[in-house]
Amino acid sequence: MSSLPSGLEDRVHDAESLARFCTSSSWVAKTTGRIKHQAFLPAPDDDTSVYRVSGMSPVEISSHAEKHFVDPENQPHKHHGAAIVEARNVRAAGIDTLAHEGPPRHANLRGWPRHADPELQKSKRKEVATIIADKASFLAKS
Amino acid sequence: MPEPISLIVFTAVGMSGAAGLRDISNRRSGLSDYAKYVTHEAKTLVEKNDRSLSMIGPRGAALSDLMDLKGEHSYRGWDGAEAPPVSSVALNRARELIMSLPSSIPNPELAVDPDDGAVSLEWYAGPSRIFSVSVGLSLRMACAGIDGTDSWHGVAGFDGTKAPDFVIQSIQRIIA
Repeated sequence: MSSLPSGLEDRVHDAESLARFCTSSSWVAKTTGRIKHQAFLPAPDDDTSVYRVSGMSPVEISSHAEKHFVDPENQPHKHHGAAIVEARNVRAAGIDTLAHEGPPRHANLRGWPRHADPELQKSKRKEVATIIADKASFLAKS
Repeated sequence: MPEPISLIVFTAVGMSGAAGLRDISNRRSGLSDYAKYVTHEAKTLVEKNDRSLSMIGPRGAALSDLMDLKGEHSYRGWDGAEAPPVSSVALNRARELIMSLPSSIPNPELAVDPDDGAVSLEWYAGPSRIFSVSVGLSLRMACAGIDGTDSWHGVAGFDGTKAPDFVIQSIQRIIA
């Protein structure tokens, strides 16, 4: 296995923890802290951006976001914490996790369902994202 | 000639909010004819507002949450990527769907979808018991649910008046 600039292996293992930074407060249930499926829905480029955070403490994860989860002007994106899920649960839902460094430790959730009918495509993606979110936990910002 | 209602409302709300309007509507003694007119009109407005709130009833909290969504999601890229802003059309249609729900259906939790800025209504009845419907610009709403090891998805049409059977049945399935 070859190494990436971060030192991580280029293959994301099933047991690895992935962090999806929640940029909307509406993605986290107010009363329970439950992660909602919106946190995992893909961007218009059909990828969901995550970070590989196995072995990192909550403070280290927050610090990583401050440094690498940034906008084009290098300013940290505002976020409300992270949805944490294991790669095996993402793959069990039919989505792959592929390392993609630009930012260190960055990976993409790829392989979202497609359909010619946009609402049907969205409904299928909602189903998959709901299955993933059901296995995720919320890590508040440190 | 008495001032128009709009000026009365502007003055009361501008000075002290809805409480000011209610205070004017409760005045009783030592009033001139003009003051009596203002009091009467304020009382009419308060009664109409109270009737509206009673019709909203238990959906008030959900509608309030709906209005709160706009602030955080009103610009492109609110998700740190390319998420479109939540539209007023989606907010209005979400309000219509909330108001069309039978009283036996609990209030949903709300969120905004990053792929298209749609408003999502979600019902959660415990681990692996979730159903959600996304309300956007189209009359067709994307829906998905999980119930234990079962999961499903579909599209439901909504004309703004009657909540689709597919949505009601899915919610009832997971809250049963």
